[in-house]
Amino acid sequence: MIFDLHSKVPPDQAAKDLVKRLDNLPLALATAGAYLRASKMTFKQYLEEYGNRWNVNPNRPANLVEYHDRTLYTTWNISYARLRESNERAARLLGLLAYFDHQHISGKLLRAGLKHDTPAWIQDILNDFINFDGDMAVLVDYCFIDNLPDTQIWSMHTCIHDWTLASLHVEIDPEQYWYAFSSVGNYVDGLSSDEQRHPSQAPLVAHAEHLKHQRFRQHTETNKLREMHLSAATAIGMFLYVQGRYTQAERMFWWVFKDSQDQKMYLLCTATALQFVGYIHRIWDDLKAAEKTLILALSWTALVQHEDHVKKQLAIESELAKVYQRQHKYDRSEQLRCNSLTAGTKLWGPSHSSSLTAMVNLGSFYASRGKYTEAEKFFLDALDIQRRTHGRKHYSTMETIRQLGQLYRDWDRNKEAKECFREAYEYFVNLEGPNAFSSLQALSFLGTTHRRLKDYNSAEHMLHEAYEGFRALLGFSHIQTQGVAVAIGDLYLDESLLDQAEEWYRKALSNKNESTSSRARYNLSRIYLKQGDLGKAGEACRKALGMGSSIRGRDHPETAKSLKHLARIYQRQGRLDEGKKLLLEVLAVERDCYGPSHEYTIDTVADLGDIHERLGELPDLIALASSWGDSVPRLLNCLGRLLLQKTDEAEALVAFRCQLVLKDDTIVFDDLECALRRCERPLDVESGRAICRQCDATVISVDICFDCLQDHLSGADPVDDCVGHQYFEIVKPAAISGEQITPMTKPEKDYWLQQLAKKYPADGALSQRTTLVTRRTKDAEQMVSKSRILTRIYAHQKVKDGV
Amino acid sequence: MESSCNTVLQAVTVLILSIVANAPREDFHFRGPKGIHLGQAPSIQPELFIGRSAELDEMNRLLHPDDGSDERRVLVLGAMGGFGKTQLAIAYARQPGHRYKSIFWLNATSEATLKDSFRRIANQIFEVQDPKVLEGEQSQIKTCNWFADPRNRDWLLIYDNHDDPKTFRIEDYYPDAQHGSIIVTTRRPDLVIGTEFLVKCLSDLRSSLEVLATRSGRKQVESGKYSS
Repeated sequence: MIFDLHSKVPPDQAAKDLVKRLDNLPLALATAGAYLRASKMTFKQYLEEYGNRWNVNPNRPANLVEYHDRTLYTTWNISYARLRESNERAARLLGLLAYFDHQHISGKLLRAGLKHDTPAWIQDILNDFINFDGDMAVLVDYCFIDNLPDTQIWSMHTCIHDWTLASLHVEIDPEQYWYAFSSVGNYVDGLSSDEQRHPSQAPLVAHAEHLKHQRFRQHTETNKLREMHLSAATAIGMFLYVQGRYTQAERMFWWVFKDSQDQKMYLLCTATALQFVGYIHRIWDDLKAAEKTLILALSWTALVQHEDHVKKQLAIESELAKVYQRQHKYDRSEQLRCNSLTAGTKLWGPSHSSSLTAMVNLGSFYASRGKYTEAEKFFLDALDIQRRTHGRKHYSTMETIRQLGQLYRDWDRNKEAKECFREAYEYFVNLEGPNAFSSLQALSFLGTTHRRLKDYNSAEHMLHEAYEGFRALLGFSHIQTQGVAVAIGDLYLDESLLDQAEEWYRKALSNKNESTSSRARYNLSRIYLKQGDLGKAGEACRKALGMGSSIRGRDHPETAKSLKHLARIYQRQGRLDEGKKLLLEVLAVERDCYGPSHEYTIDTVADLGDIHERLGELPDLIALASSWGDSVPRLLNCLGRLLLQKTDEAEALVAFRCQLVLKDDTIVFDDLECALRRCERPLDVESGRAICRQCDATVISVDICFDCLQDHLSGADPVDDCVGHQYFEIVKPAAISGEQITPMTKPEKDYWLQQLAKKYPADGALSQRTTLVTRRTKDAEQMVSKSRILTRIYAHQKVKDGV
Repeated sequence: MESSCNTVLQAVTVLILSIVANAPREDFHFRGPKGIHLGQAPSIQPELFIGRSAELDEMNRLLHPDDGSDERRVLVLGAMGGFGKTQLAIAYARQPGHRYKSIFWLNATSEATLKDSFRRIANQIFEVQDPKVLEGEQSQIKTCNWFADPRNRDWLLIYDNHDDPKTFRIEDYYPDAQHGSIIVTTRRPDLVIGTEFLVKCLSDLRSSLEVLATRSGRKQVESGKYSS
């Protein structure tokens, strides 16, 4: 075999393209192959040549023995001659089909362009349903076209279709071309906006694209739009736009713009064309072009004397606001959005679609600026009106639900977000199919919320599907595709698959987009931190922070995430003061945005507690514990440790007691586990607890149970360098007294903390440090006895050969 | 004189008749299968025929269903020109391990080409001493009778390029028998009686690429390069 199918070199893309263009027709492939054997052309050149002139070099037809002297040209001419002899009308119908696409041909489409001034012969072949169906059946009998079983839809092989245009129309017939043009235009114009979006209409895209066939573009009478074609052309452009065929739509709109400029009657078409070109540029993220085109569109709109002109102006302005936002011109963006909301509400009332759009836009603006409470208000208001006017299952309602979902996602209200995305996804898939932009977007969001809710399998499945979909729809480097790449990286990071995570983040870095690359860098930094490479982690995080704060501002919750991460890196590097400063900044943002009981806020407070502990800042820690101790019990642990380090063992004990909670009928030390690897049992009053007096809690965790302590001290299970230290033990004397130990109540705790703050005031903390070993304040003593503390303290001196 | 002349004439006639009668008689009986004869069929190099294994299996299934019946079946391969009907029929005939003991190809473009094909087939089947015995319609009649012989089973006839069924009835050229297999290739499958099988384009990219590579003689389908 000449062509080695298993060869290492993959078949060239040009060859694949050629095969696809010839749609696997054996004679066409054989002709191409034989031609290429005799020439030095490449596959790519042949393909280009095939596109230019349908029959490559008719003077030198390729010689194919087994096809006698038939070429692509002549072989179908034979059948056509017979057809024309027996049925002239069917033959003309075949000729007309050259001006439509070769697939999904229906009577409804062919007839859509019929008017009183349509050429008589076209009326003759299309008007009578019975004759028409009969003629199509004749074409099927001659094998020129296929009938999709049990339907009134026909298709033609692409090569035969090429032949109809090349051979039956050596000269283009403008009459038939413009008839096809208005058929496609009228057909799409007659569809409702929901129908236009529907994926089942995708075959119409091919009909629309065929109208821009090279031969038509080159012909002088079919490359210029006349007045009567402008509205059809605009309708086709809008259809291509909602179908997501942006390149083709842009081309169509530029054509409309070019040919409508000098026609005063068609200002609306000109303005619309520019408006949509602007939309498309924004989708492409070509912000400068989008801004320019939209401003131009505004100036054309101002000339329109039409009732729709205000509405159009508001639509363009809201698009412009989006562009400004992407350009970080927030003031302008906000101003435009507020203007359109006020203008819309004033003109048409709040439940008009324009007002609603403005409301939602303003909401999404605030959401992106981190003002979640304001954003939620706008979304919920809009949603309320939309539900009342359109019902729940409506496109614009669903758009709002999706945006609300995004808000909840950013706000870390994942369950609510999931519900929104699921509803939106199901709706969009049903409406536009799984590969449409809206569906893919909803799917990627849904995947992210699944990740956050720790349903990793579903998340992985969804995110990969969304990634492939976006890549096919928008290309590899588009912001949406890259955004999903980051989301996939996040997923692998959560699952601790660091290599895979890094690979996906790197994919997202290949593009210049600031928002995705700052997210990617931030996450890369998280990976480096996990790998222990603090230098690299710090560098990546500072870069992410630089980009993030420049586009979002320093006080944005997203920026706060990076700040917090950097603080952790500083913590690990021992740059505690710097870390503390960052954490205080983060805490302010998070408390404001997520509220005091949110996981993020609590995390930050706990981190801050650790830093205070390590810096020995007892008064600060006491203050922190006073305000956060209830929601962050770990602070009390820090406090206890620090008190131990300051050798105030009595207060330390109270602190640890504050940390005790009742869980499943057992009193435990707030989720602490014995740190020795082989044990990991919860530390409760039964198992007791020992704390190293010397080890730094963040370097080595030395909370262990008594059993492990025994082993540890006997040398059976050494924990790194924590050997030879002193231990502080808290045991339950229940075995001795038979009495129960109880956790401190909140008032007791608050009271104790108040007293503790007095004992260690912010200024004179150091002087008191040494004298407090045995001294107990009266209050503390009172409290201890009141709550029948049954915990015994003793300092355990480590003896080399065990206790 | 006249009567003697008549007598002589009669004698001569008898003599001639006896000579003719004594001459070796032509034998048109079935004496054994004849193998594959694709005659004037467009010859395609086996390596140029690619893919289509699913179609070949389907054709075999349609011609020889599993119900065990042995009655004659006509398979109509229909498609527009260029889809590879003829090649498919020929590839079917050449399939290794097929069941046929005799296979013949006929050009069914017109009645004239069909008659010509029958003349050639007759010459391949019968070893005649006197070519005149197969003149005119005789070649077709004798050949069809040969195929109709109940002992002559497992034959396949390919009627190729029957693109204009309106001009004549192809059935008139079938052997008058209840056994055997027939394939007709046509652009008007709607006008030919038999089991219709519509030939589609190559079904997979790999086969198509292979056609392109083989035909172009380029070892690897790589752009920018061509090999000898």
